[in-house]
Amino acid sequence: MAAEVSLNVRIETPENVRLAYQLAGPALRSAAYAIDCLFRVLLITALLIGACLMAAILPGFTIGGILLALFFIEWLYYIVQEGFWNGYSMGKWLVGIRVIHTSGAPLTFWGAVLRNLLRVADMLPIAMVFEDVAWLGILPFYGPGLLAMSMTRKFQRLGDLAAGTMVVQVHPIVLPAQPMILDHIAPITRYESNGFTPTQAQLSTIAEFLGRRSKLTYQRGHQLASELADTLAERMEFTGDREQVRKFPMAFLARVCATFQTARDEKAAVITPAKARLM
Amino acid sequence: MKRATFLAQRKPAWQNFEKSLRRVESVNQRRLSSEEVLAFSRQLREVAHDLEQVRTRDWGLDLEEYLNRLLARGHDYFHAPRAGTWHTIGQFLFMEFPRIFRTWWGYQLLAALLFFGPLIISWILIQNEPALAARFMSQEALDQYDMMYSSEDSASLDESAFSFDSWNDYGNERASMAGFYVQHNVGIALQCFARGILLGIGTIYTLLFNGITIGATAGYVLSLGHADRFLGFVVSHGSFELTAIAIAGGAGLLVGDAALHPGQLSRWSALRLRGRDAGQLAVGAAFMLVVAALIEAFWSPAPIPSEYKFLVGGFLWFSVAMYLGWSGRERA
Repeated sequence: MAAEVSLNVRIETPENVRLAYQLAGPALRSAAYAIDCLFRVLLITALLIGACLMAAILPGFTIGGILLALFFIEWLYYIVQEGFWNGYSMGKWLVGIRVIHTSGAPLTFWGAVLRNLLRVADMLPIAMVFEDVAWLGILPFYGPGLLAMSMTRKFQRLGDLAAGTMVVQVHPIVLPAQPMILDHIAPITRYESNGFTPTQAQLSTIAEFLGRRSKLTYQRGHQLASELADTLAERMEFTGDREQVRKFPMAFLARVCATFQTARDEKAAVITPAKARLM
Repeated sequence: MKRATFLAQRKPAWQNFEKSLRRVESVNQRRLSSEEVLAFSRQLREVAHDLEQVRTRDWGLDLEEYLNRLLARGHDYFHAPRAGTWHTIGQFLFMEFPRIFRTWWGYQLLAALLFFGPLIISWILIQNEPALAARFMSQEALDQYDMMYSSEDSASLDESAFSFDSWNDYGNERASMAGFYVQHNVGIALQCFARGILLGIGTIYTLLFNGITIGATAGYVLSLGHADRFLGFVVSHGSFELTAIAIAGGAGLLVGDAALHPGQLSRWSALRLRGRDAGQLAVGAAFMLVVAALIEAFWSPAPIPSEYKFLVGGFLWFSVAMYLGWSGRERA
């Protein structure tokens, strides 16, 4: 079997449910990291401004507080957010990605702790060479991290490997648009074709394409549809008006759908009577 | 079953499920009624069934994707980890952390040797031969140590000058030091742990480096003849601080060795399995260092005769040993 090049990961949950997730690659994750960095810098700036006001009254407490806050922002920023916010950090949420376990389970607190403590190792070279310059640790060098990500199938950096986590994309949940109503479309007669029958998957693809046609520009939609319509007409040796197919490819696709989808549905209805189904 | 009929029949159910999802996600787990929980779990299984049906009948990738996302979100909530309470924190600190420490005692022993060994050796060497200290530390740092422990009023306040104002200043200065100790020391320990994942090399380096530096400092200050003041200062917080750094190092060795000696597991599974424990050890060490920072900032420099500090320090060393050795044991 050839290795599939795709971002999809399939997980089988303990209840034998198959779930699919789309992985987030280094680009998305870097974007999220950059946003998080910006937030951290803003946080520190705000703290320093506040501290200048406080310093006049209680200099010692202010310095102590600032150092404590720096510690929190350096080490706990990600742990607290990912651990208590379902695998999101500010940047991840804005970019639309989140952390989950490779088993499909949501991120646990200890998972968040481990993957983020080991972040230090993932960005090692720069943080190790200049260990006295604390702010350099914020720079996204990530040598070992990127190396590990490019070598694992799930884009895991070292922290992810140890914690058994991966970063996946989050998409909005939208019910797909209803495909068009097929009742008033003239089906293709058996004299116009050679008996070739498209598979259900092909029919579904056509139906979904037609359902989404309003999202494409007319030219683009026409272009895509004519490829498909021509190929189909060729396969079924369509003897009707080929000129019409070229001019109105979407109409032809709708006819294909109307012909075969209805036929399939009727066959299905005969084999499995509605009463026998547990719906 | 027609695709169109299926859609028409199931659509209301999916929209209902979306509604329950929004409800369970916005409300505290404990607030949900048993009917709601039952309904949610039934709906979840229904959606799972619908998804498989759409898949096996090739009813379209869009629909499959929609149901998949819906189900994934429900699955997420259904398997959400139980929310922790204060009790969980106590359970971790007093039961689980010392237990994990004892489980991996071999790594802990090795880390302790790598840390305390060089510490003691460099201490003895430099106390007998103070000129060597310049090889480990800059002259400025040495001068600073000299000043810190020789002048009477820099590290602690003169008792005769005690007043409310000076007490206030004292607290103020101490608070700044507390912040510094937390930021600096916990940072070192966590780095020491994290670097371990690269075959433990980073951890060994950090342990040796810190051990030698601390030993050299101690040896140098003692060679100047400030034994009483210096030891009185370090004995109390040293108990938690030095032990915690060794523990963080042990945690680093634990993850680093997973790739070298995975045993019967694959290297990645060994890393995952030990990573869980090592992460908990590192967090436990961080807690110990926060305790150490508080002691170091508020108790260690207090203007109290050294005898009392030795007494308290001895007690603290004893408690750390008891804590790591016996806390969380089953009653025999």
